[in-house]
Amino acid sequence: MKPKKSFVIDVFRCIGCDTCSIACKMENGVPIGQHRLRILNPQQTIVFDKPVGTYPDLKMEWWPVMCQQCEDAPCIDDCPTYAIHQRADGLVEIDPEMCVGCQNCGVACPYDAINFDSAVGTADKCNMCDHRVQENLEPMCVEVCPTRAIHFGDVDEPDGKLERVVKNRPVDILNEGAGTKPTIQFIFRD
Amino acid sequence: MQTRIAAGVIKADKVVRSVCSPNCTGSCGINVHVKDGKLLKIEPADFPDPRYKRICLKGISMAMQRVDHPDRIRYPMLRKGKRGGGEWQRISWDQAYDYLAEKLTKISDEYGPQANSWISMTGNYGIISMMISSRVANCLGGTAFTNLGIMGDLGANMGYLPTLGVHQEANEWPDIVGSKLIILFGKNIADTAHSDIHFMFDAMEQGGRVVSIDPRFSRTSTKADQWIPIRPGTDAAMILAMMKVIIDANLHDKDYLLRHSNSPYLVREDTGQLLRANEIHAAAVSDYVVVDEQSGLPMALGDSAQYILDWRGEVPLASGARLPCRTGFNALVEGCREYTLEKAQAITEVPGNVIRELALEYARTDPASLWIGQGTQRYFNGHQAFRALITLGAITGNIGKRHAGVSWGGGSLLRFIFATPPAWLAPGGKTGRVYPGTRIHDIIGSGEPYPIKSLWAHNYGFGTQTPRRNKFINEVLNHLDLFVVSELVMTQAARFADIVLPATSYYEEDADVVASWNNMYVQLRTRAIDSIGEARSDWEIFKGLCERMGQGEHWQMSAMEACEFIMKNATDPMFRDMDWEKLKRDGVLRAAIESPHVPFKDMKFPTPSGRIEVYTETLVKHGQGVPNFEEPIEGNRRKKAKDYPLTFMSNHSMYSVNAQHMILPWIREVSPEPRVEMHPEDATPRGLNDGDAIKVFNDRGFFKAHVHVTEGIKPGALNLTQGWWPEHFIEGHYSDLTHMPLNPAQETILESNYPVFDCLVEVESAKHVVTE
Repeated sequence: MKPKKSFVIDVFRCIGCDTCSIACKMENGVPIGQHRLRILNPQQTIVFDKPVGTYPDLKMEWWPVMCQQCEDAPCIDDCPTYAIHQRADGLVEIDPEMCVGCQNCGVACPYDAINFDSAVGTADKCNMCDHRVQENLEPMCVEVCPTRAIHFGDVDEPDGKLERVVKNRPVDILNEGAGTKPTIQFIFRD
Repeated sequence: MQTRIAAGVIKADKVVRSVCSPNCTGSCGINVHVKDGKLLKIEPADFPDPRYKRICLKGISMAMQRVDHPDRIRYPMLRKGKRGGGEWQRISWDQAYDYLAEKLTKISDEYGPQANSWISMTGNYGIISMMISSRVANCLGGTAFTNLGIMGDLGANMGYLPTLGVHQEANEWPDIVGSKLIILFGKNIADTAHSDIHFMFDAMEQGGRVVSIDPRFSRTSTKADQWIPIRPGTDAAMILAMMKVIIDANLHDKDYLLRHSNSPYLVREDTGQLLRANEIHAAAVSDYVVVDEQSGLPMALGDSAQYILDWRGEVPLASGARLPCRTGFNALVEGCREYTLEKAQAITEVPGNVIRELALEYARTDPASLWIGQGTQRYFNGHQAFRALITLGAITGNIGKRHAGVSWGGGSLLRFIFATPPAWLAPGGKTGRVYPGTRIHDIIGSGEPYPIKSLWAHNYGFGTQTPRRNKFINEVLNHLDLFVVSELVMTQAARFADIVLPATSYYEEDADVVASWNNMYVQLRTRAIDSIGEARSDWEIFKGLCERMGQGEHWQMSAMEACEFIMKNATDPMFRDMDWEKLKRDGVLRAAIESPHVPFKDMKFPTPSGRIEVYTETLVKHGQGVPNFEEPIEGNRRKKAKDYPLTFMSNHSMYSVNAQHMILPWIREVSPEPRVEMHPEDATPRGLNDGDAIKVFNDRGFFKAHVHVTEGIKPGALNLTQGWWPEHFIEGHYSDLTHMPLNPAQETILESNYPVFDCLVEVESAKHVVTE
C-alpha cells in the first residue's frame, strides 16, 4: 500500500502572507475569486484582518486552510456522479470528466475547501499538487512558504519528516466535531 | 468556455535564474520558467545557503501580473494636450531621442547644462539601474538629485553615522539564532522583511524571547512574546529611561565603555567640544584627554594606562586657567537623569514598570540583540532614537558581539552602492552637480541656486511616494520645460510626464548585478524573457540618449561589460575580490566577507575617535551632544493637536513594495482597498463604525477612504498601509498630508530625512460621499 501523504501546518510560523495561496493560483490556474487554499484570519476571512481581544491584550493567528484530505470525506459520499474518490495514498481526488458541477460536494465539505469553477463548470480543490509530487517536488505551497510553515510528507512514517515536525508540539485538527477525520495537522509553539 | 491556465502542468522550454529586486530587503533568487520567450511561472531559486531559497506573494504577483500588465507601457509615448490629461501619441525610439536631444540641448544652451536634472529611486535594485542617473548627469554636466533623504529612511543613517561612523549595520540575520532576547523597536519584520522572519522564528524555537515595541499590533507584534505599544515618535524617551535604569542599577559595562567608546573622554563644559591634549600641554600631540585612574589627573589618552569613566571637575589648561570639564559618560548620565520612569511613562504612555523590567532584562541577558526598524525614525528627530538605541547597545557592551548587536539593515546593497567605481559614475572624468532630493521641490520651484528646467525620473513611483505630491503637481511641474519618466506601467508620475519611455522589468534586462539589503549575496541577473513591446533597459535607454547627445564614446560597452567593470573596479574589496567568472556561471555568490557577518567584531569604528561615539561634539550646537528626546514637531501633545489630534502613520506592508504591487489583481484580492486603522476609542466619539467612509485631513491636504476600526492600534494614532495610488481612494491621496521640513541637526550630519509619520491629522465622517 502506498504511504498516505498529508500536510502539517505550523500556525506559529504562519504570518498570513498569502504567498502560498497566490503561488497555488499560479501553479494550478485558480481564478480570481476562488481559492484552493485560503489563509483565514480570526474573522474567518482573507481580508481586513483584526486581532481578537481588547487593547493591549491581543492575539492574532492565521490558519492556512485547504482540502483536509479527510479519511471519511463527505464530499465523496455526496457526489451523485461518483466523481470524487480517495486514492490509496489518501488523496481525495475530483475527476473533472465526471463532475457535472452540481456543487453538492461544496455544501458537504465542513471546511469550505471546494470551489466551483464557473469558467469550466466543475468542482475544484487542492490535490496536494499531485503533478509535482509525482516528479518528487514539494507541493507549491510548501515550495514557496517563506517562513517554512507548511510541511508535506508521509503521515505514518515512523520518525518521518512530519512526525519529527509534530514531536513535542501542541497539535490540533480543524473542526474535529464534523467527524470527517481530517489528516492535516496544525501545530503551535510549545 | 474559458480554459484554466495551470502553469504548473505546462512544460517550460527553459528555466533561467533571475532576481526579484523591487526595493525589497530580500533580493530573492528566482527561477523563471520560460515558454516561447514568455514568462510561464516562477519558483524560488537555489542559494549556496538553502535558508535563502525564498520567494513571496509580491514577487510572484509582480512576475505574473505586472510584467505583462494591461497598463504596461509598451512604446515611447509623447504627451498630447495638457499635462496629466491622459492623451498620448505613440512615437518611435528615434523620434523620442530626437525630441529629448532637442529639448535637453535647448535648455542647456539657455540655462547651462546643470539645468537638466535626473532623479533615480530604488524601484529596481540592480546596480546599473540605481546608479545610472548619476552617470548620465555627470556625462551631460547635469544635476543629479540624491534619493537618500526623500525616501524617508535617512534618519536611521543619521543615527548610525555619528555614533558608529557607518550608514547602516546589522548582525547578519542567521546570527539572530542564539540570541536569548530580541528587542524590536518599530521593526515589523513580518511585513517588511518577511523573507527573513524565519530566522527570528528559529531563534524563538531555540529559546529566544521577542519583545516588539510598536504603536501598532503589527504582524510582527502578533508573533512576539510581548507587545509594548508606545506613543508614536517617543521611542527615544523610553530608551533614555532604560539607560537610566541600567546605569542606576550599576549594570552598565564599564570596561567596554572605557575601551571601546569615547565616553571617558573629557568634554569642555563651556563649548561642549571634546578637550584636546594640546589644550592642557601646549606641546602635546593631538589627542583626546582622559582622567588617569592612578593619579586622578587629566592627561592625554596615550599617556594613561587606565582611566575613569564618570568624572566631572576642573582641568588646569596650558594657559593657566581652570576649565570645568566632564567625561562624555557624565554628560550621558545627566542627559538621562530627567528620564525617570514616571516621566518616561508620561511621555511614552508605556507603564514605568514595563520600561524598568525590559531595561533590566536587556542588561542581564547575554546575548541580547536590539533590532531597529525605520518606523522608529519617521519622525522629525528620528535619528535621535537610533542614536539612543546604539548608545543603549554600547553601554551594555553588545555592539560587535555575536547574537547581540544593534541592527537595522546591513547587507551587501548599500556597501555596493558606495563601492560603485568613480570611473564608471563619472566617465571620462566628467562631472555634474549633486543636490539633495529632499530639496527638489524648493530648488526647482525657486530657481535657486540655479534654474532647473528638466527633470527625468526613473525607478521612482514619484507620484505616490513623494512628499507634498500636490505641490509637485500644481507648482513644481510648472517650472519644468521637460518632465521625462521611464517606467513599466502608467504610474502617477508617468501620467504627468511630457514623454514616457518604456522600461524593462528585471526579466527583460540583458544584465545587471543585484546586491541585497539583508544578506551578503551578490547575484548576476541575465535576460529571461523577450522584452515586452519596445521596452528598453535603463542601460539601453541612457546609452541611446548619450549617443544622441554626442557622448557615445563613454557608452561603448554592453550591460554585461558594465556589470563586469563595476564588479572588478568596485572600491570595496568585498566585491572586487569576488570571482567574476563564478558569479557569471552560478548567478549567485557570497561577497568576500565573513559569515555570519558580525559588525565591529574587531572593535574598530570608522569614527573620528575610532571608537563608538557616545558623545558627538559636532551636534552640540543643536543641543544633541548626547541623544535626547524632543516631542515630534507634530506630536499629539503639540499645540497643533488641538485642531489635528491624531498621529497619522503610513506603514509598509507585505502586500506591496511602496506603490509597485498595489495594482496587481492577486494582491488586491487579499488587500482590496486602503483602510485607515483606528482604535474604537477614537472612532466612537466621531460616530464612526467599521467600514465607514472618512475624511482624513490637516492644514496641508486631505484624502477620503474607509475606516478599519480595530483594537490593534494605539488610541490617538492612525495607520494606513502606504503604496496606494490616488485612484484607490474615494478622493485625494495620503501624501498630500505629509511635509518635508529640514532638520538642522540632520543637515549637519548629512541630509534631512522625510519624516513621514510626523504628521497630525483630524478625521471626520465622509458618509455623504458614498452613493449607494
